[in-house]
Amino acid sequence: MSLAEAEWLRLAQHKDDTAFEHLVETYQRPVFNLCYRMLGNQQEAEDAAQEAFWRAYQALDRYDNNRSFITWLLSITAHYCIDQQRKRRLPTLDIDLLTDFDAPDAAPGPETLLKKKQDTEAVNALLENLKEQDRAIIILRYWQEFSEEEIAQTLSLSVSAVKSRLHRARMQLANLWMEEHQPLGLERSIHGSPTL
Amino acid sequence: MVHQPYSSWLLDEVKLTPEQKKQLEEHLESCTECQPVQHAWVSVKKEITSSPMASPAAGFTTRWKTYLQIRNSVNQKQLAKRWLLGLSLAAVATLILLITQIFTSGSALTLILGISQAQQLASGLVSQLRNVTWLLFHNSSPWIWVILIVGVASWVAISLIAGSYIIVRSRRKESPNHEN
Repeated sequence: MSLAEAEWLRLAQHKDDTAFEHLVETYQRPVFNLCYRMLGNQQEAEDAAQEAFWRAYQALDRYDNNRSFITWLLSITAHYCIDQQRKRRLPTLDIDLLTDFDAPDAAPGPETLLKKKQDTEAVNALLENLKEQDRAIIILRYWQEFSEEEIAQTLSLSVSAVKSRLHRARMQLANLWMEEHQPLGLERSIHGSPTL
Repeated sequence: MVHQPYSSWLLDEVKLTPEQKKQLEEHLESCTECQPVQHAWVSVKKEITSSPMASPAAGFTTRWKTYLQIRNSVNQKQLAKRWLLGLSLAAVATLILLITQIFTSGSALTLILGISQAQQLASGLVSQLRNVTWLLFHNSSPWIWVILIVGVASWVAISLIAGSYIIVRSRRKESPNHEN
């Protein structure tokens, strides 16, 4: 966290709304990305991100300054998304509404956009097969590049629980990939022999 | 065939020693179950890491400001409702307590006596007030009346200004798009 961010945080804790707006501006991407990958829908992700910021705004006086702000903020976001996902239980993919992604070139052509859409669709389709908490772990690990300790802190889990869930999620994703990419008629179970 | 610790080495992203790497490679060459898992995980990881971080549509912070105003307004209304409900409940509870006290503390005669005493007390208060007013009117200097009238008028004026300010402020808060 930069000095300016630390100052905004300090001011926001003293009920300065403009300072909190700076924090929203700074952290909107990781919060939105977590919501989008968790919920798979742009509109729901937008609503969830706004709600997560509202909850953070409300709980700011209880924030422990010794803790990383991004970990704390994503903890609120992840818990909210997990709750939403559990309530919903029927994930939907919004592939028609393409979210704004980091574009390597200034004006990506239709092919680039289509490729991005397909990639997002494929990744979201894989993620939606995971349990809510496992999905959050994978998102925090690979998009947020959190360490196992940071994930544990964010999701209120032990480090060993994070490790075992990461292993399980990776295995599940690998199996899903194999199921999708194997020739027709060939079935495979986890550590099971291929059967015809 | 035993798949541990190779399965963990494949999926847990642990840093392997050269010796462990060699053992893993040998196992993968001979194991028809771990090899596809490794290929699949490498592909999945590539897919995930090449998928960029999603960003919200432009203007997120502006939308946040509106969201904050709406939520604050809803919160204030909820708080006011809770207060009103609490006060109403307290008033009802007090009334019930008083009625219960009246009806359980004695007979109908006690109740009639109580009402009569209250009536006497009220008429005594009215008579005292009348006396005080009369004394003020007849014995005080005219300056006291001037001060009293000016004081009351100032109090009314201040109350009106404060009341208007509160009403205007609450209306502003209730309309979230006021500043937009």
